[in-house]
Amino acid sequence: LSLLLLAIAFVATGLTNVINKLIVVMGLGEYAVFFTLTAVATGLVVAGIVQLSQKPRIRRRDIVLGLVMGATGGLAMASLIVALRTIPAVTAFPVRSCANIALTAGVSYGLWRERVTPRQWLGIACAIASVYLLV
Amino acid sequence: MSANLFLHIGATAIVLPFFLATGARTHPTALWLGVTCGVFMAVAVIAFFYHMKSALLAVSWTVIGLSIVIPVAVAIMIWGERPTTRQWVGLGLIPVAFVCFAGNGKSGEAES
Repeated sequence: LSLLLLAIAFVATGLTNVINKLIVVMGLGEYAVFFTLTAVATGLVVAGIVQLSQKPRIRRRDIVLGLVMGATGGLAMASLIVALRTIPAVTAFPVRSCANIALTAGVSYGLWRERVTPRQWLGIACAIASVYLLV
Repeated sequence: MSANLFLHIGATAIVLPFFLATGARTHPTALWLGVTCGVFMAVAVIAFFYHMKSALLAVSWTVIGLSIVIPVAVAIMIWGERPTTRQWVGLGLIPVAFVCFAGNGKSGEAES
C-alpha cells in the first residue's frame, strides 16, 4: 500500500508539472499567478474536506510546518511557471528537481539522521546525475 | 494530516497578495487548469503524507523528484522538444535510480 501511495504521488506530481507547462504552451503565461492561486486554493478546499472527514486534531507543529511548506511551495510554483516562459521544460524541471533531491537527502541525513543504505545512496546519486545530464 | 491543510493555507496566503498586487487578472481556461492542477497537487500531498508514515524522506522524496520524467516525456512526445544525447543519457539513468530504490522497504530507519 505504501508503494502504491508513492506511485499515486509520483503520477499526480508529474501531471501537476505537465499542467504547469501547459499553461505556458497555451499562451496563458501572463495568468501564471492567477493559475497558481486557483491551484493552491483548490488544494486548500480538498485539504479542508479531508481534514473535516477525520478527527480534527491540530498540532502547533503541523501549523508551523504546513505554513512554511505552503509559502515556499507557492512561491516555487509561481517562479517555475515564470521560468517556463523562457526555459524549455526538459531543462527547467530537472534543474528544480536536482536541488530538491540533493537538499532533501542532505537534510534528512544530516538533521534527522535517517540511515540510507549504500544502494539507496547509489539511487540518489543516479537521480542527481540524471538531473545534471538533463540540464 | 493537518499539516496538509496549513500547507495550502500558507500557499494561498503567499500567492493571494501577489495576485492582487499584480492586477488580479483572471482567465477562464487558467481557472480550470488551476482547479485540475490543485486537485492533482492535493492528491499528491495526501498520498505522500500517508506514504511517509512508513518510509524514509530521502528515498521517497527522490522518487517524487523523478516524476519530472512525466513532463519531460510529454514535452518530447507532444510539444516536440528535442533532447540532446547527453539529456537522453540522463533520462536513461532515471529507471536505474528506481531499481536502486525498489525492494529495500524501510531498510534504513531513523536513529532518533
